[in-house]
Amino acid sequence: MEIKNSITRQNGISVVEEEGDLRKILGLDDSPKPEKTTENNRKRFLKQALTLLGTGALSMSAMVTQGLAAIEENPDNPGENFLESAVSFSESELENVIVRMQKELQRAMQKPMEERKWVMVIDLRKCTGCGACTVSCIAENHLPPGVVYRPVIEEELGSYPNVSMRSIPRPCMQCETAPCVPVCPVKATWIRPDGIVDMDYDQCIGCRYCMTACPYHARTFDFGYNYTDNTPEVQPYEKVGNFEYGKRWDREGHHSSPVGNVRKCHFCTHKLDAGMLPSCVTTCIGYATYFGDSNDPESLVSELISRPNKMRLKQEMGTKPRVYYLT
Amino acid sequence: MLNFQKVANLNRKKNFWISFTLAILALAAGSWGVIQVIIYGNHGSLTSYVPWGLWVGVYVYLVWLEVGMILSFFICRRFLKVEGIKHLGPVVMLAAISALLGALFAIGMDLGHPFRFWKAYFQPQLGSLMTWMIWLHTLYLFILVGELWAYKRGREFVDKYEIYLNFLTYISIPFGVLLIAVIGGLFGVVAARPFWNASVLPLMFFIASLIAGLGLLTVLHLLFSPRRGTEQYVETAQTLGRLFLGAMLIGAIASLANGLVIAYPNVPAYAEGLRMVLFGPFWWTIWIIHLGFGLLIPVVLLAFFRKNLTAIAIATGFYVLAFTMVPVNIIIPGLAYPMPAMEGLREAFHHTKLSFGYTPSIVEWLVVLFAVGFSLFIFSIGYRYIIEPYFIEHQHEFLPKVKQ
Repeated sequence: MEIKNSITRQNGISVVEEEGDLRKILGLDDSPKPEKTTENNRKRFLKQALTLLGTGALSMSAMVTQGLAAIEENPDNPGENFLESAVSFSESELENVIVRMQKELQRAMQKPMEERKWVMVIDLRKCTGCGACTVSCIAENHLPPGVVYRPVIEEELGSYPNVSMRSIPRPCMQCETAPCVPVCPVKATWIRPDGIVDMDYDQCIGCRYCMTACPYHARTFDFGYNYTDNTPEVQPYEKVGNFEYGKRWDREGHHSSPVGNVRKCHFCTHKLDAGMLPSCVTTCIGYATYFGDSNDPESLVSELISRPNKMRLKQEMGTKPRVYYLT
Repeated sequence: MLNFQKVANLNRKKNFWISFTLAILALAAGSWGVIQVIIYGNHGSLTSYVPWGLWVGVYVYLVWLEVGMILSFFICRRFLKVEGIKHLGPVVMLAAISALLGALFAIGMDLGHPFRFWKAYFQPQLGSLMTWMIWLHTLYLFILVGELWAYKRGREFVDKYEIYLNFLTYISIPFGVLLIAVIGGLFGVVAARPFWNASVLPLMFFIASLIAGLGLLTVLHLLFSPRRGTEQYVETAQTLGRLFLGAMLIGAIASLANGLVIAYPNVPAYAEGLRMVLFGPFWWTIWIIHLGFGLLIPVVLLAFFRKNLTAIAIATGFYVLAFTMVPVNIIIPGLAYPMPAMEGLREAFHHTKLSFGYTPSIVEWLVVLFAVGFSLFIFSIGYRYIIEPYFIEHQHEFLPKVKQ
């Protein structure tokens, strides 16, 4: 009953009718329950299943109808109108976000490398913490167990009843004054002219000094694990190489890179060099990750990082990360 | 309790067989761990968030011993004029070389690609302290081998053998100090790790090295001095015991001051490491092993039984062994908690290798056992084939008589 009153007061509207269902779903319903029988359970299950299926079918048909209508309206770029109608983004945000960044990327690639500075902007207000970026990164770079380039930190703020939550994706910050670079004893990591902190797996001796020096814990070590370890056979797909840093890296054994190496996010340099956006950018379901050339005053990221609500992690350390957050 | 007289009366041949047998046992037991690392790339319990652990700790410990022994030997001989220690020179050099090789083995096992170590020599980044550590360590190895060679064969090949030996001894001092400072700096410059990031760390490393080295020097004197059985030998041991007691107390005061500086402001980023050392899951390593066996017992023994050689042997032996926990308790707590603003990483992505918890695995302990066995093996072989003949050849110098 406390919850019912609370909700009613906070919203200022009556939610009594829906609340009964809500309380049932949450398992808080303290009203006398009918005796449970197999028949009752089956009936209830069938009823719920049919309701769910019905709702799903209606939603899908609505989306398909909208999608078809969008194709008819704008055959060149059907996704634009379809997404606009499906998700409540403003036109300027939605119309251009991926396409615009893609165009900007191609424009930036026309310039010499030293004239472009890649920047990533993550809008924390839009990030849902779904982990799609993490998963796409793992898929793109064939990351083995225990290696992650872009975990999403879940942060719980406040205390009950004033609580909120936010998700903070944490890629490599590609710091302008990267503390991980000068500590490497063999020059296996360096800052590219376009600002990305690069690595040479064949040069890395695996001393892990760079890992201790990174204030963001952004570097992980490839211990040589496979997902199908402790099964009859390590599956061949685990050994198929990735294309990090523009080279194929097969997982051939414990003495062959990238096993035994320190690994990190590199803004998908292999994709960038081919004129494509990083995987985490294109797979973000909430359009919360932006990418582009901060040296281009007309780029989306240049606009975003000029806003007062931008921030960078651990700014006080002076590492000047190239990953910005909008709060 | 250790019967010192029994130990003192062991002849050198027995010493060789004891150390050789222990070395073989340690190598045999540790080989399984080494195989796990070399063939399967097993890195024990290390994780991406605690990337350095027991092996790095043991490396630092052995370097402290190796350099500290040379430095304290030099200081005792040249500045404090401790009588009767001069003839311990070749034993000290051999022990230092053995510790150095054990240290290099331990750190080599820690590398993800140990067979690429040569890149640090031929494709170095001069701005990295690790490069300097590797170079200085290598140079130090050559200096020590040169000194040992001078003790063994120098007289035959070099006319001014004493000058040559003195030259090597003198240059080993600045290089030793530099090596310790660089290793302390290697941790101290890591701004991302507040627990390490202190300008005082190289100095603390230097103090630690000196005390641990003096402890081992005393043990070496008690076990391997060519003057064993003479009055001079007993006096030297008592002098070393007194010096060691003073050094230990200075080290304790320095550590206490350093700890208080961290604890007093209680800034979490800095104090968390100290809290983990004192009250974390491995509190017993510092309270029981280091402070109990490694400080309290030695202080009591050396303060109240200062003329008893058994007491000196136990005190220095306990201290040297328990001191293993010190570098381990500096390195691991500096890493084993998330940095400020990164606390959420604990739960962000789950895998055993993405954990802030670290407990050395059996493989790591076995590798350490192998490294210690390797050091002991080098020492026992060196003792048998270099030191023994040297002592026999020079026994006329060890007045009045050497007991065989």
